[in-house]
Amino acid sequence: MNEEQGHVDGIKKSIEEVIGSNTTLKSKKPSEEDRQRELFEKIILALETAEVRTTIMGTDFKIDLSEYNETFYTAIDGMMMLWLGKEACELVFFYLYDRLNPDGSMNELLDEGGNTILLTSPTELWFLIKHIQSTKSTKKKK
Amino acid sequence: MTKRSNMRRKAPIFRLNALSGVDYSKLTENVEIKEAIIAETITAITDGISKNKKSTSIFEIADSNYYIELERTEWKLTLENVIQYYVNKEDYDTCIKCRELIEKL
Repeated sequence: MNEEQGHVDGIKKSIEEVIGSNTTLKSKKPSEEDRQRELFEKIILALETAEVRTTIMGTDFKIDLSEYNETFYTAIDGMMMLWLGKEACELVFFYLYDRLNPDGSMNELLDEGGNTILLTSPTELWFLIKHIQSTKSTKKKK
Repeated sequence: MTKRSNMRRKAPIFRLNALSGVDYSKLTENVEIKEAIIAETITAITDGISKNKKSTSIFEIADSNYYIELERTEWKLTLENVIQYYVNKEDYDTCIKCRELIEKL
């Protein structure tokens, strides 16, 4: 049993104990937001894999694919820009290309309040983008 | 204007930041949590009855892909247990409300 399932079952049993009857678990339908997040995570993971492969080809086989890949990246970057906007794309590019140092250490981001933000997964990147976008749209409404 | 009773009820999110190895049975010892679960169960059943549902969602579990669902066949027993809880608390108004719900089943 994985951790999430154990957590869900623990809550289910507690609720059953309180109300004294049996409950069932119903799976949520993924929302449009969930679908977009999953797609975003797949794209970022694929781009990370592509970047690693390009690096390996360069270091291990001395084949420089960066120029060859440039055409694909231009297309992908353009589509990202259309989908997410300039500010979010800058975060994506930071995540993909500037976040990790060659020694394996991680660069942090600083928010407007000077707080550090450490991005360790595409999911965290997605939620940061959504947070920035919702803050921006709230400010616009005011 | 839409009547409130016709508005779609959204199951509230049950968020619990549990540490690894936590004993979930301790949850039921917390009076506030117990009260919240019972109150929301009544709301969920009320909604289920008014919309003639076969089952009703009590909570959405945060950070998971699940809702806690209560089948219609369990509503009567649940309400009877809830009545017992409120009898012990001497909250007879809520007891009457639950009794009325049972009558509608």
